[in-house]
Amino acid sequence: MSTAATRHESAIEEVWDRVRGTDRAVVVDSPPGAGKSTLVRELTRRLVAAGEHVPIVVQTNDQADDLVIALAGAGLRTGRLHGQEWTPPRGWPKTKVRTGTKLGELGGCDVIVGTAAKWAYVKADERVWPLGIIDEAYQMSAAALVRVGHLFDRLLLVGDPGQLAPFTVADEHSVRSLATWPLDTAAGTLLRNHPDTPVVPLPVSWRLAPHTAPVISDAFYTRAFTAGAAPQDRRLELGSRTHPALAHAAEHGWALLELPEAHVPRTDPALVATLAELVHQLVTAEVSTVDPSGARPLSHADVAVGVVHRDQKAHVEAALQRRGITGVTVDTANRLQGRQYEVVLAWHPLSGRRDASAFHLEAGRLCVLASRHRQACVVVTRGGVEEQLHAYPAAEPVWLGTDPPQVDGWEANRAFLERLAAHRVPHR
Amino acid sequence: MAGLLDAPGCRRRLALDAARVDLGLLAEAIGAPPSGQSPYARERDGTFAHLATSRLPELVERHLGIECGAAVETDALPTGAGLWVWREPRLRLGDFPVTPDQVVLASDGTLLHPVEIRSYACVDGHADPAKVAGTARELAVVVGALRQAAPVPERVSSRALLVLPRNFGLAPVGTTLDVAPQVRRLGWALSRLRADLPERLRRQALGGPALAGEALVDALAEVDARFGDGCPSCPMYTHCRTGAERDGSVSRAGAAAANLCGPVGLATHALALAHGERAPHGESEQAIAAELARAAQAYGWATGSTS
Amino acid sequence: MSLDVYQRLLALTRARAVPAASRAHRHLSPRPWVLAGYHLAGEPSAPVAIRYGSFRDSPKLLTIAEPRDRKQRFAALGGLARDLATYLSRYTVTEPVVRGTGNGRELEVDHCCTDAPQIVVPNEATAHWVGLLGQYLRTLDDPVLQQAGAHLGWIASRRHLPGSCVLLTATDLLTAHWRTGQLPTEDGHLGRLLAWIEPPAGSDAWQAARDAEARPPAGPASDPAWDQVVLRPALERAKQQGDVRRLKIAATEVLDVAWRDTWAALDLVRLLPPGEHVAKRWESDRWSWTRHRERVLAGTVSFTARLSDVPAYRFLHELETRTAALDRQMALDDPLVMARYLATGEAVAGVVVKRDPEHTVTNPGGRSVLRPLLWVRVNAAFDRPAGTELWLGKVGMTVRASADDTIELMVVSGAVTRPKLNLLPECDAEVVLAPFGPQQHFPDNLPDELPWPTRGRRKPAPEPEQDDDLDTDAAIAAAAAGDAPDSDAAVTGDGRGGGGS
Repeated sequence: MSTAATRHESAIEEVWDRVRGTDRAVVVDSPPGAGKSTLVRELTRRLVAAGEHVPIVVQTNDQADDLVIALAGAGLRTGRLHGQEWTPPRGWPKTKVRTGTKLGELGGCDVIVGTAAKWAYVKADERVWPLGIIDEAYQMSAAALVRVGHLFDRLLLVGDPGQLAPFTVADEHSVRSLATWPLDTAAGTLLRNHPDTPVVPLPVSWRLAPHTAPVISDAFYTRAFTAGAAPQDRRLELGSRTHPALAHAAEHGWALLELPEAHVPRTDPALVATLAELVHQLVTAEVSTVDPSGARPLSHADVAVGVVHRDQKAHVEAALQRRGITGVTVDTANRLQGRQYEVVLAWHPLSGRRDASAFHLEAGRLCVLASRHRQACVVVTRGGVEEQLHAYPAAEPVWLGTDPPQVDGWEANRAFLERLAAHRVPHR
Repeated sequence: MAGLLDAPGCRRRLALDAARVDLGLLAEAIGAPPSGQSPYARERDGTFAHLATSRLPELVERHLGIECGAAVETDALPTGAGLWVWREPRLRLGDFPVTPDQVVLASDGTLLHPVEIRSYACVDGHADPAKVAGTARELAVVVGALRQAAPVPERVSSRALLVLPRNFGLAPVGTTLDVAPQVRRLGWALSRLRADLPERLRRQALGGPALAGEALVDALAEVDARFGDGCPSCPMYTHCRTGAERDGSVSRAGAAAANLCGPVGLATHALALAHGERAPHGESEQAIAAELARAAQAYGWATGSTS
Repeated sequence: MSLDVYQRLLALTRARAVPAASRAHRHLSPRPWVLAGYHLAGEPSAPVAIRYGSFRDSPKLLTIAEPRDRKQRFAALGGLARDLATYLSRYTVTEPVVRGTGNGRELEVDHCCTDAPQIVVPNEATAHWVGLLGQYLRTLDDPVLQQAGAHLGWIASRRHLPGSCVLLTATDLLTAHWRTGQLPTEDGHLGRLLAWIEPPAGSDAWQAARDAEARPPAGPASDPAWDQVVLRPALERAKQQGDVRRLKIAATEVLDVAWRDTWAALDLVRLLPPGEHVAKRWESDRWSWTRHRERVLAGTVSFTARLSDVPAYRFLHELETRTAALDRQMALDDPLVMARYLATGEAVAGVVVKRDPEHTVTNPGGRSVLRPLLWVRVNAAFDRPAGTELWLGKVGMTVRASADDTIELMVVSGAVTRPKLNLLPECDAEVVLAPFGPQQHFPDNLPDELPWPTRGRRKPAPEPEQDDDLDTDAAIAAAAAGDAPDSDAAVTGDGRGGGGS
């Protein structure tokens, strides 16, 4: 326990030394729940204490709001740079925070937080900062970095390399006609252009438990990490009469709930019903979540359902609404990036399909779905995923001059499934 | 062997590879148009291979950092540094023979890198990604077979040098191509390959008399095929296509249709479900019927008909 | 998309293609320049024969007896380049257009060409070849050929932009408007595709498609058997005896099919009424042509084979904007395209059964604001959650509740002030609520040059200059004479296909 904490502390001090040093850029690789948010908060606090003004670039409005709330909570005068249609979320701080659509409205703030899309409207002739922080730098594309890079003399990029790669609606063949790959990650493009940039890995996940961290680390990461919590630290206590999958996941961290093998449309009604039933049990069965800080009842906000497509999200949400359940997050892997819950129910991307596809095999998609939970994750799927993986032709286009991805989606899917085989719970 | 990576889901394609069916005999048997290369393509291939070979030392040094002279003939896996050409190696991958015309290898003394010359154009650093993928699959088979032959498999690198003609001319240009993902996939495909060939094909696979004509077609037809988007590049394409057309199989319309219709294999059944003319059996069919009925309704709305 | 699958199944069981659109979604020029070509196998820029022109009954035919010979190619392509220049010269008339500048507050008069050229080719491979041809022509030392190369460069640069109609392929024209029951990859064969849409009398699509397949391909991909049996003797005769008659006959044979099929594709799409946004998209092609002409006249036209730096990012922005806009515009223009969204449940069709235009809510600031309510009886079960956003033109609304076959919607934008309430549909009106609203325009916000994080400190060393335009013929001759270096160690053809198969 103390060794994990020591390793984490020394990684943070290394980042701090680098930030105070002469490197033009520093990249921090953070596996899921490795204290990335805490790191950003802590470094910001130290920089402000040293008299600096700190601009922070995040990727989504949710991320910006969460960060502003955390920074204001740490006593920092924080500005929220936002777009026209933004409205403050629930629990928005009453003090320490200014908001505005223009930089000029945020005078007196030590820290300014905004999305990359919003920062792109700030002109370099308005102001250039000596150091900028980019959060979720593997979720951000090179195209987004190009639009904000000139605002900062130096950069600290923090992110999780296991996240989903940047996405475009444009046709891949057309984009590949370019001599550059604008959909590279911001961290990737910086490392390619500045190969001397130091990369500091955070070695410990505080979110994932000791029995779940190795599965994620082995299947999805090239740099291994371990869990910070001790085996006995956490526990999910279930009331009676819960589904065996929940019971298994409460005990082992994982459950793979397999519905009978079938090829079904992607809004598989049986899978929707199963997910709704599991959520219903979780929020009604007097579940409590236990960790070293104590025990507390599991709330709706502690539960998330991770899906693959937006129509799946719509169907699961509608099913929950029909049961009168609100406040449980249902979202696609894209939108769950960077978020954390006690219990996650994940819709396996390959469930019910006849043929896998590159989209459904993307390593980041499964990784995001399977690494949002502190206590337990139930992966719900139709049987037959393994056959599907093996029937998938190695026919992906190969673009000259690009390296194969560090983590191959097919391989990651296979490894993950193999590790979860021990946690298979048949549908009753 | 390429079928292992091309179409691992199609048992018929795997049987074709496993029984080492002669593709010429097969084309004749199923009445497929003779495959082959245009005389012009063949000439170009030959000329380019010749030119590229003379430039190999320079390309090998530039892209792999290995200094070497002209390729030296070898009849075994080379151990020393240099550029090697191994003609007609008799390699094996698993139990399958792998017999390329030749393998060119560049070695720094520790790692052996395959060198592959192809004649499709690389225009402004861009080559047809489907062709490169095909080359990568074939290279993976060679890498796998060489590793099986090597005393220390790790010495055979998955990083190959691919040499292509540049732009509109024949000047060779090199690119490194890492086929590690394809090699890993191949390993898995091999480990799962079950030799459940029909008796007649098994005899052929074990060195018995080669089947031809109707006997060959019949034997192959005993094994299930999976018709889909990748089929036009398969030697059995025209045969399987006729079958799918005769049956009115959903998969004739492509993988998207087959994915949506799942267990409903016939197009007429799928449409009957869509139009409410057939009662769905089981939850899977119910879900498919609901999805297609909605599409049918939308189509009827847009075309002003009630289908 | 489930509608796509449904249409493919219908086509499959009927043995005939079914419509996938009820409007023409591509602009069709009254006088397109159609071009079909046949290539020497494996050679990226060695055309044997090209047929082109704006008149279907009097095409020009160009044959090159030894396409691998630079001089012959040069002479033949010179003729093509001059004819192209003549065609393009029809599109120089401009008209004054009043445009907003800067932030749109000031107006200025600009001039835009009243029409723009349109090239139509049989298939993707030919369209790709048009770009290569332009690239090749630009390397030649001849001002006419270079200028034709510049024009082809512009034409090819529009190919990747969704919605642009400067360079059309017949296969794309047809797949945008019809669904067949064959594999999507088979739709890339123009003859097969047409066989599905209009099988000859007495033949179903299956048979017609097989017949089409047996004919020589629509180029520039080659047919090995035809090359061996027909082309080779014809080329030999032309080369050795200077007699090109046989070559002309062979070329006519092989290109005639592609030529007729391409015009047939145009005829089919012309039967459909044009979609409303088509003219708007063509206007952007006209502006692009206008600007291109200005650059050609000023001598400032330049092409990079592959975009890099800031222009690459600008191109991505344009691609993304256009992709989204095209999907949206096609759906709004054409009920059969909107039906795809109805089939997935993203769009909703129904009848307004009740309305409450006076409904108000209290906003976070404590003010009472107008938020009209609508109740719509829907045609298909609504399976989306409350909170789903839907649009009726510029009017945005969210679903408040759904019960049985009726959904309750609250208008949240577009019609939330009294003067705009007339935009709300009346009772009994049939409505289609779309998953997208008015088009939004976002500036690309790109800097003039790449910022430091995305720019390397060192430029990579340039590739050494190589004899790039090494002609195959010269090389074949050299190899035959045995003066190629290292002929002992020659690695002979890999025998596994490569470019030619």
